[in-house]
Amino acid sequence: MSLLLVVGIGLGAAVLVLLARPGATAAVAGGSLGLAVAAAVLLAASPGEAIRVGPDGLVLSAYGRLFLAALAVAGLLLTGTALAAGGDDDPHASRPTALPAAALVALGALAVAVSATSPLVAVPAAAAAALAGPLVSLRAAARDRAVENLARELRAASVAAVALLLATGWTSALGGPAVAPGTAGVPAALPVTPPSAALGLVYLGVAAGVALRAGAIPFHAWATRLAATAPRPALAILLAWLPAGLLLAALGWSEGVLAPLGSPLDVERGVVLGVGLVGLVLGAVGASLQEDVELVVAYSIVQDVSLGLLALGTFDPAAFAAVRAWLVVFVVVKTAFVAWAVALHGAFGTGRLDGLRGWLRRSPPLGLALLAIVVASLGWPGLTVFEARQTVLRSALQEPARTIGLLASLAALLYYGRLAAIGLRAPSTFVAAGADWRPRLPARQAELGGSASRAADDAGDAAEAPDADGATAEGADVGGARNVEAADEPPARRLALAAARLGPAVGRLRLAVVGLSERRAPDAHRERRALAAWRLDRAPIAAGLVLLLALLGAALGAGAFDLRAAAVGAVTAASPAASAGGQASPNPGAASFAPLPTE
Amino acid sequence: MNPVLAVLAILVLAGGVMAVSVTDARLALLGLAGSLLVAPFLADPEPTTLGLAARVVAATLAVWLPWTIVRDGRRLIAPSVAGWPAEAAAAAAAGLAGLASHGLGLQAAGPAAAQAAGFGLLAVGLVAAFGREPLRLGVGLTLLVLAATLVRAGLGPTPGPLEELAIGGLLVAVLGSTAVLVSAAGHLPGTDAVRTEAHRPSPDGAAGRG
Repeated sequence: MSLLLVVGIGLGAAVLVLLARPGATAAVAGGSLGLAVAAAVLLAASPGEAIRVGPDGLVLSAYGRLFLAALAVAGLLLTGTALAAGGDDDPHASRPTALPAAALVALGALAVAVSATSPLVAVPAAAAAALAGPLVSLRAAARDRAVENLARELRAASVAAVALLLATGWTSALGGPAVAPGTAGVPAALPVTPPSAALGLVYLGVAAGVALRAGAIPFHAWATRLAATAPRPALAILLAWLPAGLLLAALGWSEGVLAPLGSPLDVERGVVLGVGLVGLVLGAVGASLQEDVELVVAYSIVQDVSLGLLALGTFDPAAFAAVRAWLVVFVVVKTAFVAWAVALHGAFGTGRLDGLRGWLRRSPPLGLALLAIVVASLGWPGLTVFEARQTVLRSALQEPARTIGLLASLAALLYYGRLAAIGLRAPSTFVAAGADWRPRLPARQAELGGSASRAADDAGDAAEAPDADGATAEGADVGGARNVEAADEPPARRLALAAARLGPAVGRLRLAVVGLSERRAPDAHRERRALAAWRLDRAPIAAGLVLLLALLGAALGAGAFDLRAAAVGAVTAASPAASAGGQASPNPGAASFAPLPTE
Repeated sequence: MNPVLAVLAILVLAGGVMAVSVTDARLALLGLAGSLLVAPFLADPEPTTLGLAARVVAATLAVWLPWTIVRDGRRLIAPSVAGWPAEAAAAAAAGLAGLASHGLGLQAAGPAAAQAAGFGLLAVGLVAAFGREPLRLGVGLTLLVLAATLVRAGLGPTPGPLEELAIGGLLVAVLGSTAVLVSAAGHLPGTDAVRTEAHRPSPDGAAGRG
């Protein structure tokens, strides 16, 4: 029943997307409510719930429940962050109409994909989920480029779907139609021994399909171009959620159908592992070289997806279980990273790294969130996320490639460290004019009067020049003007303003005062100023939501919610025996990623 | 080979050729609708009523989504580069190749006609799927996805209702995304994504009636 409800909510959301006007409040509210209901339903659901339709069925495993619930919660927090951070150059981005609904559409399709007992059902469902991206890929600004990139995305997702459908279709002729995804065990009867060359081609087709949709290097061009034109919050769904679902379906097919055939496919696996290793290395290099925070995020996702490809290159049940556990952390942490970028952009009005100098000095909560993201992403020995990565690398690679892989995955510290180092430098004009959440004493405020005037002058210059996205330096303009107003205020009011900075509660009063002065401003920029004040008002809320998301990722990375046991148990929970009885099998190997004994 | 299935395969291919050859967007969608509606019947034994119903409803919904954008007025898309005779010949040749290679090295459980139709649609859809025009691109990608499902139906056992539901959802997703793309491209100034005949320049160089 819970599964049907989640799928139904997803379908309802699809209708909502189709009918809603851009910027419609009802669509945002309805989508957010749908995400909250889906999360509640999934958290309340009992693992083992089964629905049988003809020869196939859906079984909600503990892993599937956790994966879907994590997506729902992450989608809800991401929507909240997008709402709080506001838009940049898109008039509708402050009301991300399609975001929660697209998240629900993806959730509904992924619910079928991760619960299906047959790869013949899981693959088209995951491919359908992967095609939910275009619902959120368009941004009003840069529309011509966005359309081109949308066409590329559609082509990549469809071609990936075709590759996977052909592969699973071909293997369906091997016998035993109802082979469960993730079922450890040879199908009951294999009447035909497949030619290994054809099997290798089919395997390469599946890996290429996953790599293409996931944007793994060398198929990353469309994904990184999309990152430059898609709405920022949508990147989490486009680049992390949807490929993760497709990867899960491919892993289920590989584990349940391909691995039991016993064909080593050494050459083909070598190709897949090579692509995975190169992606792990070059993804870190690419993320470290980017000058836009969105592209850093995109390349970091591209890098992490390569670990999934490495797992696909093994036929090891331990690696499959490990990568399943890692995928839950991956989608939550990358959603948190995207939300962090959204909040940063919202607070300072730019995504260029040179414009974000000093962000950490001005917004410590976002620094804390970045730290939580780093910890959740990499972990340390003993944590589930670290052990999962180690298990995949151990299983997939031999020395010295294993060490290279480990170092490459730890090289994520390079771009995270670069972001932090930029945040510690002297504030840029954008940052100086943007959100500042530090409490100030009156004396310090008076001292800042002169520097505020200088910042206003700089900001005035910067406002004339478009930034890399083509947007004007709106935040700098507005913030600079606000500082000039503050410097020209009567002393009593300046004192009141300074006192108002002392605490969050009084800070609300300050914002109200500033808001009143904005409303009284007679110039033509009044509306933009009001918008900026609105953003500054909500910037701490955005940071708080990002922090919450990052902490959720960290908790999952540490193995909370029995993630490790659920990932290993996914192998048995979706088995035909379990679906018949409606109960998940007990899992003796819950404490480790060791392969399950075959029954 | 079952003659009924052979006729159905020819109908599927004819719909595919029509979808990529005509210049009227509505006719292209009608051809595509024909292929989408007939394709699920290409199975032996026949799918369950629930599965067939799911595919028919999904096909109707899938085509309706881009139809809402192109239904007003006669909208033109660029003609096929090769022309319909060449497209039909390519589809027939690929279909025969599919027929001859039935099973692809394995003992197939499905009908040869399904695989033949799948191969034919692959040949027809491939060029369109790599075109630049949004509607043509979407039609080509839909044909490719449909081709993959037909090849699967020709190789494995008859798809169950849940699989048919999932395939139907996939087809709706492809054409829904195409509708979003065509709609977005249609708002661009100077786009040749979907042109109305009324806007075509007249032979003397003057713009047509708006």
